[in-house]
Amino acid sequence: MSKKIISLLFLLILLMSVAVSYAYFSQPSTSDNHQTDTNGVIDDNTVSSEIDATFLEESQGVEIGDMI
Amino acid sequence: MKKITNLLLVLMLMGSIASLAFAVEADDDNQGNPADENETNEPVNETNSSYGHHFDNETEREIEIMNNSLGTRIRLLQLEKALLTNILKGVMTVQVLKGLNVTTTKLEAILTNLSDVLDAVRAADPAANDSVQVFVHLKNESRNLTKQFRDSLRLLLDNETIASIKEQLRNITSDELQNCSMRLRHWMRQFNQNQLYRLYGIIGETNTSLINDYINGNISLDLVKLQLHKMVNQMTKEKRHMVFSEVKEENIKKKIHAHTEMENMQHHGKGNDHGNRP
Repeated sequence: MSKKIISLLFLLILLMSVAVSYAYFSQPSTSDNHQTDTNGVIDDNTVSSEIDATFLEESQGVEIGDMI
Repeated sequence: MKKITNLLLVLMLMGSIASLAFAVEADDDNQGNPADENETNEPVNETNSSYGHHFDNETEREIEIMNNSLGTRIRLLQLEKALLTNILKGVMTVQVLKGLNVTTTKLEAILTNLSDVLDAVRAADPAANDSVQVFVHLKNESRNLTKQFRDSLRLLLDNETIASIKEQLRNITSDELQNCSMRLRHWMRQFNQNQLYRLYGIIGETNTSLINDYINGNISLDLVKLQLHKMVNQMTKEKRHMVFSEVKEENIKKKIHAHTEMENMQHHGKGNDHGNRP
């Protein structure tokens, strides 16, 4: 009887770890904190940040370091 | 039989632990290498100071817009501006050192090399097929020579004097530098104008007066962005999704292009050996 319980316990651990593994692997990789939800609804900030990324800021420059 | 069952159970346990460890490792990879993050966040003159470190995230970001001659022209002009600033500061520093009777031979030699790089940047053709490789090579040269100058200066002067000179030269400028800044601003506005037309094309509406005001310098880029955000936020969910998809796709394409260019250069070593100065 106890052997069966132990077997079930380990089977449970195995299933749990498979579930955790699956959760990690299926987690969408994002470069930032914005994302669409499961219904495909996009928040305003996500669209805005994508639009902003298409422009060049005049204050930006190529960085080669300071002389002094 | 009991031993076999136990062995089986142990194997199952090991298997479950191994799969969990593998999953954690995969997650760490997705979150990125902390060393790469440091490169992006910290100033280049500190983190990428090694002479051998030629490829970094910042350069990859810079070459994203270099898939056309306008983007390449802008990056070359930005490099020219950075070089002009550094050469100007270097020349002024040498003058200060001469006043202090310090030998400046090595510093002057580095400045000559920086001037040669500046000439190469000015001579670079933005429409050339290898313009990205030329840019990366010249940027690396500029960065290495700047570091050489900085290191040589630290051997000649104490920190207090260096800080004093640095403060004196903080806002130094010249006609040449201002002229370069003006050209750069012109081309950047042209670039942003093209982006605006492309975005309006996706949205299906065009605000010509807004574009003209931006090009003429009457309104800032931030204000243009704000107007665009308002326009997009007023759209239906479907249309906003469509705009997002189109813009995102284009941004991803640029990132892939930049990454491919960087990988090609890393594999072929073009960033290091191309266009050596005489």
